[in-house]
Amino acid sequence: MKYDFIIFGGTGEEGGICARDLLESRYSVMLVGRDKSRIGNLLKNKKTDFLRVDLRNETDIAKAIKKSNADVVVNCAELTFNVAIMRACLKTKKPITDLGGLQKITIKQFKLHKAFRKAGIINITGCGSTPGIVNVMAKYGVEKFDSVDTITLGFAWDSNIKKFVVPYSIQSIFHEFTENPVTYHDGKFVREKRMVCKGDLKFKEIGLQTVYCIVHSEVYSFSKYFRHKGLKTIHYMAGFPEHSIKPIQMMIDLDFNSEEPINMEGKEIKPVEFTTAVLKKIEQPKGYKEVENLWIKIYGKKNSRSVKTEMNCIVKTLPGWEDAGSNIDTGRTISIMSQMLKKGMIKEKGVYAPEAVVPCEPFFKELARRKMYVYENNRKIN
Amino acid sequence: MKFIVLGGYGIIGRVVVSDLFKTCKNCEIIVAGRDLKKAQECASSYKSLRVKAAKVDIKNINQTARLLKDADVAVNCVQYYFNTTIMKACIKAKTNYVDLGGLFHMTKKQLRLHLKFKKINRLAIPGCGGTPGITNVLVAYGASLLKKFNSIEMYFADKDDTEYNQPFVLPYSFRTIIDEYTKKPAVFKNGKLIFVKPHSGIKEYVVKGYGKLKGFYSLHSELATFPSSFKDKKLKNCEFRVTFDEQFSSIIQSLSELGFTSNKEVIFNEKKIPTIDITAMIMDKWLLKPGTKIKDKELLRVDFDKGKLVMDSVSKSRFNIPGGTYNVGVPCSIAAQMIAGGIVKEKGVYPPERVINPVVFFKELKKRGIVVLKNNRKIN
Repeated sequence: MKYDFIIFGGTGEEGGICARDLLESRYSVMLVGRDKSRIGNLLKNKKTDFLRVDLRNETDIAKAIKKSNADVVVNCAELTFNVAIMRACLKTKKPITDLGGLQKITIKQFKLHKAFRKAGIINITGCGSTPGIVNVMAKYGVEKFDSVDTITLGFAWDSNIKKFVVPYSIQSIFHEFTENPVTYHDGKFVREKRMVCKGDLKFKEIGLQTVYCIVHSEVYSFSKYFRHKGLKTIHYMAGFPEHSIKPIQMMIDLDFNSEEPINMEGKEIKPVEFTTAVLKKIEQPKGYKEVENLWIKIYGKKNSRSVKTEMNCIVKTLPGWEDAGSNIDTGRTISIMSQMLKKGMIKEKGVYAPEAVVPCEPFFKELARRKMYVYENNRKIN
Repeated sequence: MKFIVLGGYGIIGRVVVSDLFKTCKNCEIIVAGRDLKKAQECASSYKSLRVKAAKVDIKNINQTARLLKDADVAVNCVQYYFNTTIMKACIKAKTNYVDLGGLFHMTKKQLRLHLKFKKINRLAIPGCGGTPGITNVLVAYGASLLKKFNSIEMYFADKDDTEYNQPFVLPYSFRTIIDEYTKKPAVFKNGKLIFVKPHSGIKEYVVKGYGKLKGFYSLHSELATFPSSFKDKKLKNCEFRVTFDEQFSSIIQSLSELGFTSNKEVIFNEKKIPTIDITAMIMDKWLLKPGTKIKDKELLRVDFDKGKLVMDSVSKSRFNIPGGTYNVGVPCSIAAQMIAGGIVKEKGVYPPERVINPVVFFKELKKRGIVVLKNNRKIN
């Protein structure tokens, strides 16, 4: 059977959300992952099937893509597999979307630009909430400026019940909070000290929250795509509520995120893998709801006057999608962008971030259909 | 005299071995445990024929009994879960026994071996560390001065001036700490033993030289023996509180809320292991790093009838061992020597307060720099 989409990381949280969104748009989906018991519900749908693939093996990845014969490859796996999956796409000549590669892996991914161009396919990297929605908001905002000097962006979130729930991939969070953040200053990348570069910001739905500079791919892609507007300074900042950041910080302090294996009666155990498995057991309390605010502040000039634009996207727990919390803005967004790709709405070939290729208005319209609302200077625009 | 220190290369075991070596000049000491290499490293550091190493799997009663055969006392410094297993090996080998405590429930089980020890004409004293241990003897001393008393309140206080180069310090076995936080504490109230909610009974203390402390009920083995040991003194109320600093408490609390202290198995990469086992291994990393210059002290307090009589012991860090570690190992060595030297004559299984002579014991503590105070006055 031929599938419309193949999803890597299809048994993970974002993969599952994306699959559900695609199925609701009546597409067929091949799901690739390790533990099929986690997606029993999805597999009841006749338009789905499951493949178990070892993502460390590029040949196996290519075989899976061939087998599904999908039009678009959707990569929702851990970012460490991004490059391997891209190479498999080059072999099979299939376009691909992914959820981003922070800084280091993003740079590696862009190095494949020419190869993708030559193969006549595209990789859109960073198709979730952030990177993803914020990149398109940036494009929308920046286009209205004559010149742009500074962009500050990031996310903030909170929940009604103050209990720790894994907000998104815990391994990504560990990466984000342990790697020294990279900012862009006067046209140069600067490595900052971890947890030192921070500030307090006020958000409409969340209130005052401390935001920390973290490493994120937008700093890299914005510097590339908005250079022609004179962009000199970029800060990416993440905001977590106290009841979430405290346990995360504690786990990092105590080395529960360590990749260094410990030996337990002959078995090698990586603390980070153990931690991930333990945290998976944490369930959302009843009535738990999240709100996430993706934000971007653009400072620059228009008609020789200094101006500032603020773009926000507010995402709340959706009825029927309670388990996913505010993660719908990642899984459903990669579904939107992958569908745009399949429909031929994006024609470029090569490796791109969304701000370079995703058309703003149709994208915002799709977000609104999913109750994710975009605001330009406090005015709803979708 | 010959002593076998099981778990002799562990945190407390090392203190016991070192104290036995220093204070018992002609004694033979065997450092035993499942890791022969660690035992050998520990033993050879003394550069003496009196200290030797042995490999033993304490879960194997016959094997342990063979090792214990001609020893005077087995000193058990391994995780308390194996106390009765090791005692059974002692019965087989006809060896005396001391340990560091059994967190109430294990202690109760140990006391049931009384007749068996009596029959082989040997003595076992469970709970011979700091608390239980010193606290029991402090109470025995107080009881000798008072005709009767209604209540005993116990807690400890730490003052730590060490400059650590690690973000977190695990003071002793992670599993014991977790048990102290999560097992239902026993409280003796109006003549009845009750079990209350973990982490309840929060109370603030101010101790001169130690500042403000926040204590909460914790399961402790003193509660398993005091009600019967001091029945004739009309004891009706007894409680034990641990006082850990807020930051430490919040970390333990948080680890438990996140599911890291569960006994249930976690499955990943086709492996199936009890969660707490792996957590304990990760946490082992935060035991005190060598090279840290320790400067601290620990006070153990026993308060009779709300201030009528207050007995304290104060242990300062010595030989770069934290006060709260030193005062656990030292009493164990003292008790073992008192048994081997025939100073304690009883046979059977007895808690320290029933068989250890406080005056002799306090004198031994003094030799090792641990001070005992009665109503703030030094008495040893």
